[in-house]
Amino acid sequence: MCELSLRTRDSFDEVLKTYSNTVYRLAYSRVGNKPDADDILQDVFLRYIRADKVFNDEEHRKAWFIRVTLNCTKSHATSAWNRHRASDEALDYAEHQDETDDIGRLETKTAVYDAVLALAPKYRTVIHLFYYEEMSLTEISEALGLGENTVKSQLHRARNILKDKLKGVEFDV
Amino acid sequence: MFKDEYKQANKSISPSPDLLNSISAAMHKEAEALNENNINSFRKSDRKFSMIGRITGIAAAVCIIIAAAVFIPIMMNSGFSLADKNEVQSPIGGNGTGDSNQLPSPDGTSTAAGTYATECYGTTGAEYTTNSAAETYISSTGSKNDDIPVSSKPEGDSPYPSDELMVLGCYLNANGVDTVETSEVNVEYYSRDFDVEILANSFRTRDAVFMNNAISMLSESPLNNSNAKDEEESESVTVTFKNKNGKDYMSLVFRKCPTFCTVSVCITDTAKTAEFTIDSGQYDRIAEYAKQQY
Repeated sequence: MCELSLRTRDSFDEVLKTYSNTVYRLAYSRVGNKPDADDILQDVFLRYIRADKVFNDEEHRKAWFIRVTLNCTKSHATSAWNRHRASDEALDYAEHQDETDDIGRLETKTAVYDAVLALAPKYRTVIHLFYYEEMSLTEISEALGLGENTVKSQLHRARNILKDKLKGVEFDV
Repeated sequence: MFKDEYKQANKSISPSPDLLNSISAAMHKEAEALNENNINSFRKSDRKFSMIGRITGIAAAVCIIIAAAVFIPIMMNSGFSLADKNEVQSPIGGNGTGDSNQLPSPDGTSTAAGTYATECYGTTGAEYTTNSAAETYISSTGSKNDDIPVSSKPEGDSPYPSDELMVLGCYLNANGVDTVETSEVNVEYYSRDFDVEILANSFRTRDAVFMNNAISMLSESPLNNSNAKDEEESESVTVTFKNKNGKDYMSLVFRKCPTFCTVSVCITDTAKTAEFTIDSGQYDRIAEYAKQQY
């Protein structure tokens, strides 16, 4: 017999309110621009609706959102539309290098965040998950599907790069 | 600290309220569509299930009908009978068949239905022949019935006597001379009043066992009865039938030769008398005669 599940309006708004920042900030740290982060945010929550998944607790739900956000950013980066747009932007960037250096970038007004965005995507992700989401190495390795040592080495390298760029900034780990 | 500064910087990165509203609207729209599809698919599956159940039910009914059509004839052919369990069993061992009017022949096989009444059974050694529409019983000497199965013999001390009298009475009843059934029977037997009474009851009720017992008594010692009025009467048995109005209608006089092999039929009102010999197999003629004179 088919199980009939009905999605309720109240639960959606509550979930959107709780996890929108988490998803959006992780997406932004990955893609580095607002329009793509907007698309990814919408895509993640639509996937949440369609999945109609039952979670054991809020930690489980949060882990699901992080994992799906990472997958969406990967899919977004490898999509045909994004590759075509990247080549166009590269062309535009070459033509208008002085004008469009920060297209779509939110104004953070912090040297720390700018330094993070300057990192390679894989280093940005581990930095964001480790320092902002406060996930352990084990949790990060599970979310990214990488080995724990790999995450640890990536975090170490990212931290060294940031140390070079951010003179005088202390890292607690 | 890097951690604090990074967290502080992230606080400025948030989706716009318009984006959240549009996402919320999109989520609700998507949810409604999914719920609708879910309900529709549920209904479809429900309809599918009900259709499957309906088809299964029809198939089961067809199977039951086919099974009944196949097995009922097989069961009937194998001897299974749906007839009344009270059907009459032949005292001479014939199989009880569904038709209670069917008279088993003396050798145990059944004859055509409808000629003899239920209580009428043939005697050992007798044989049946078909004579036009009616069965004609041809009696043999037939005073012994030793080959009758013990279990089917009536209770009593004596074996079956010559029971032409019984057969004749039943034959008359079965062939339309129904005075025995519809009026009182007055049996006049001058030698033994007690036996006459039993015989009268036997005719009235058409009870085969009673009739056999009565005839048995008659056969054993009619000549030795001290109450016999005279020699001639003691060798005959007269059975008088009354009609519906209570008047004597017909008398049957059975004469012993050496058993009761000759019967004279006397129609009282017309005073006509006809005489038949039982062992010549004239029961049908006796019955026909009685009907004509009735």
